Amino acid sequence: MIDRLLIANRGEIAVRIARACRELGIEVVAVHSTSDRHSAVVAMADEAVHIGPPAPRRSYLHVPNIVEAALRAGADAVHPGYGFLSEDPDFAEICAAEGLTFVGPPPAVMQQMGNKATARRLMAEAGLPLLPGVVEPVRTAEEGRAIADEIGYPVIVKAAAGGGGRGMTVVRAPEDFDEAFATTRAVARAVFRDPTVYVERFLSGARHVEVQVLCDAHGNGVSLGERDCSLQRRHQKLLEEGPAGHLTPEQRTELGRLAVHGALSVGYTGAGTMEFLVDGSGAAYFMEMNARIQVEHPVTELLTGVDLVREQILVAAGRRLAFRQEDVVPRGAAIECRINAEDPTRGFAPAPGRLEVLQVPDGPWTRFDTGYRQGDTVSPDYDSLLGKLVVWAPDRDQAIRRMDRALAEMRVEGPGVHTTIALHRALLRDPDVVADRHDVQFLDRCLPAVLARAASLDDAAPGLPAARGGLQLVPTPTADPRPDRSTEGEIPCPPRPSLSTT
Amino acid sequence: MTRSATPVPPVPAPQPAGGWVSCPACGWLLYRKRLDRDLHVCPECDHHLRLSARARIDLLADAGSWTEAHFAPSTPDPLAFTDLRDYPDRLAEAERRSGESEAVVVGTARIGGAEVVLAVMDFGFLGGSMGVEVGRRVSGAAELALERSLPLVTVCASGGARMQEGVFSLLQMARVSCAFGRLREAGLLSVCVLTDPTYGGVSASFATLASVLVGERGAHVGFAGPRVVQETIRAELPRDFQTAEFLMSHGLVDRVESRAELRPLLVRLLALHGAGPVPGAPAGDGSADEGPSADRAEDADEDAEADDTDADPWDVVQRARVTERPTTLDYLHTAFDDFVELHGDRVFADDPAVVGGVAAIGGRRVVVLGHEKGHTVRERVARNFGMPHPEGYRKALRLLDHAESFGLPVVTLVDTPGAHPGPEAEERGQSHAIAEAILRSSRLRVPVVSVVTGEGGSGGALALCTSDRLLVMENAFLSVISPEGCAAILWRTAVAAPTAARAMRLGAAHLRSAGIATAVVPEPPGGAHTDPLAAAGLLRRALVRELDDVCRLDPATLLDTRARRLARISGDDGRPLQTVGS
Ligand SMILES: [Zn+2]
Repeated sequence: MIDRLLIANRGEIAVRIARACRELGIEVVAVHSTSDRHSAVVAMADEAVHIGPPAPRRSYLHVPNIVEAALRAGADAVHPGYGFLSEDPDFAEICAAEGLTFVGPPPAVMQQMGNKATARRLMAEAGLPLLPGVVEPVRTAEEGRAIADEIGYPVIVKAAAGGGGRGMTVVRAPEDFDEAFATTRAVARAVFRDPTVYVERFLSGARHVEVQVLCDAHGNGVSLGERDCSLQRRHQKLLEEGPAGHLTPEQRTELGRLAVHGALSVGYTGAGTMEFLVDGSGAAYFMEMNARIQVEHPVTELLTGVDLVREQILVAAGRRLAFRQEDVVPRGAAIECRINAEDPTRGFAPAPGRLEVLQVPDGPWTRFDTGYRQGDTVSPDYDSLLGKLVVWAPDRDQAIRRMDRALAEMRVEGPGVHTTIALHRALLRDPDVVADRHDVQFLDRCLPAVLARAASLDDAAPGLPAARGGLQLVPTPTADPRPDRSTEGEIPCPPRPSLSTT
Repeated sequence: MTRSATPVPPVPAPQPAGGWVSCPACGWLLYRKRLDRDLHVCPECDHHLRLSARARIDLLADAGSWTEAHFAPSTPDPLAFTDLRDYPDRLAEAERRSGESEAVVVGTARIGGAEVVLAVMDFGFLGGSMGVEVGRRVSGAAELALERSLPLVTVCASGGARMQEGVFSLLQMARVSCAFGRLREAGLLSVCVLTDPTYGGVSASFATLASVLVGERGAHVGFAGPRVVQETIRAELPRDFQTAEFLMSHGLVDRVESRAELRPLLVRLLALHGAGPVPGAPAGDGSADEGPSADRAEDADEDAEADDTDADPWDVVQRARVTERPTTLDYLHTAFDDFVELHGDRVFADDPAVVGGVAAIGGRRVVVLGHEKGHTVRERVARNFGMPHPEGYRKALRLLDHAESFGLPVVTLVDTPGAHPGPEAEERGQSHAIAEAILRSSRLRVPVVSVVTGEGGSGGALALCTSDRLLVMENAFLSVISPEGCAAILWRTAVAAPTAARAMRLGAAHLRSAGIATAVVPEPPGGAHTDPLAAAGLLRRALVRELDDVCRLDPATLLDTRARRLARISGDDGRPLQTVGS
């Protein structure tokens, strides 16, 4: 059993893991960089170890210091969280070699899943559907045309070195292939100085659906339902929800079965996510596997009632899963909004700074996971995730309304600080999003319109009581002219606090 | 001077325990397995840690393709040398520590499918020093390459000649140089990878005699060790003194590559020199139309005759000078199928105003040379606005030699306001450099196809224009002086430049009708800059056509035709010079 666990991470996930440990009766060792020395997880931990300067590669990515911290603090396990070292097979291996239980899959499995080509090959062998296309570069137009004929149109010709929509051409008919191939290659050569291109089946209207799995070290695995993460900007997820309401219950069950089968076929243990691209007909294609706990795991927790971090730790400690597939019954709908300290109007540039005001929403089925408290400073050295606002409701419509209400309650202020709050409110008002018919390209396509709506929301702050002041049935006390600080929070964020019209 | 003169210890420092290695450059702790995967390059400071010969072979050769050549045992220790220890003891110790029987390993292997002879030095064996056996093996590798007509790839790492074998070591420099000379005469490709460190008798012999020299990033390469140099001049040396990067900026190596880029580069170099398939060659019908925008080129009139390109000379001048107009490097990346740039004049510097290297186009391997202007202000300043210094022409010269050695046709792309006018250029012999380039290309035993792609300014342009075929793009010109210069001298005001341009009849039409240009390459409407890809497609089509045509000629016919073509060019329809009887 694990008695003392070192959290090799920071921010909200470190706090999340510390909470799970507390509930399990496990002692917590936090590690922190210089700039995080007063962070929330440091305050919560039984012991905190300073592991280096702010730059991640000298602190949260610096394996020797983290292992040293674990050994000196007497930890017997390490939880890597997400990001940083969470998918570094060497780190997992070094922990094992030092006698530390690593909360995650075996290093060899992590290595296989970390290599996209290997993961795709192994999952194909396990019988999971892959997007038709070739992983090998295509050298000539004839070769490419033969592949396109085989996989069927439309296809996409992609520059290997490309990204962000550049160096990609969608080809809808064979007669257009040669020209598209030549052009894409020429662009790839001119822009990226590398003419290598691939040919893949093009999916229009595709959705990003991922299945949460949990496997123990005794060959048992369950699926905990799926999440839809189609609202992403340049592959950065912004808003996640569950379940994938656009799929039939049969399709969802089948996806869950495939995911568990795929994970078990490679000897996976712990919490993991299988990512699929799903087309308009509901056909799913395996994309990749994430061998770690994910940012959006609370969506699944709210839907299933399973504490994923707790289960992760128990499985790492060698325990058998305490529930079976039939015990997992996702209920209702959940949405998570990533509140980032970024300025969406300036290309999502990080906008960190001191959080002079941080008012967190509350209320029924409203959860906010964060590593920051009012007065803390968001450091520019790390990712800009300020916190995750997650709500649950019996159905998707109610969940959207609940999220809008919670977003409206939230206040983040500080010099230079901007957030994605208004953007989320605008997103949840978009007719396509409300109707659940958006696709993975939605944000890359419609961002300007969403931003314009967010700007008008910012100005009008609708959904909030207008700042006309409250009705007075008794005379306003005048003894103390200063506003009472303790009541400030009760007023749902008027632009300027005002206790009286007089 | 040929002693091991490097400041580095001959054996890598002992590794800290527990599978961790401390980076010798920055001290960062590196997990050994990760370091192995990262090819022993420090992720923190990019320091390239030293590799054993076996690790080098694994890095460069196709898996399972290595066959070691075995040499009959020799009798080392010609001097019966003893210092603090007997030399045979030292040899035995080196063998035990490195696992090698000498400081170089020779064999055959495939690199990207191309069969090569591979000779790899091991610094771990007595500092990679060259004694009789190393000399024997390296020249043996060259002989093996000659015997089998294979390219030779050598990886160098050496402190210099081996002291313990005295003057016998020194003479190995002559032995290996002679072997490399024979390789050169036979037109066989040799590539030398210079790794850290390469000094003394090795750097002053075969290490710098290969056809192509590639420095590994950060490698120290020089003749005398930095300490010796420092003690001699008693002054601070530059930080990058004798690094591969320093060598490249001084024109002494063709390229500097990171360790991960070495093998891909070798694969391309071998393919571009005739070992392995021609890059970009279509698998099937062998037609050259796979290239970019070939379709659009199809319906354009390729033989745009002089009469319908009667553009105003001043318009031509202005279009030729548009900063967005595609440059030589743009065409190399869009009209050609592959291109490996080779830098430097091997003497003094790498002139950024002239670029060149080996390339492939439409299934044919070629050497390409051209002026490079750049586009942005920063680029144009760095490239000196496409105005070469003597070292630029000397780079062209040595690449012309390269083309002749390997029987590769030459393509030149001409776009320069003129050769750089300046005191340094004069000190280094600008006239002579231009003249040599003209002479060399006029007598080159391989075909030369030139294209004036933009400005063809005076002698600075002509140095790259002497050819079997001279193509001129629709909005390009060749002139003896810039229109502004001409106007200033003859009209006494630069404002008269448009008038001067018209008077000099600048433009493709006149060049074609005067018989100077052999063809006009059409451009997209409005000029090449309006659709660079289409322009590249049109250029590609013209080049492939001309190369197909001119590559049919044998060297004697080629030289004869070229000489007659140059003799014919005059204003009076080529009346031959008559000796007037007295
Ligand atoms: Zn380093």
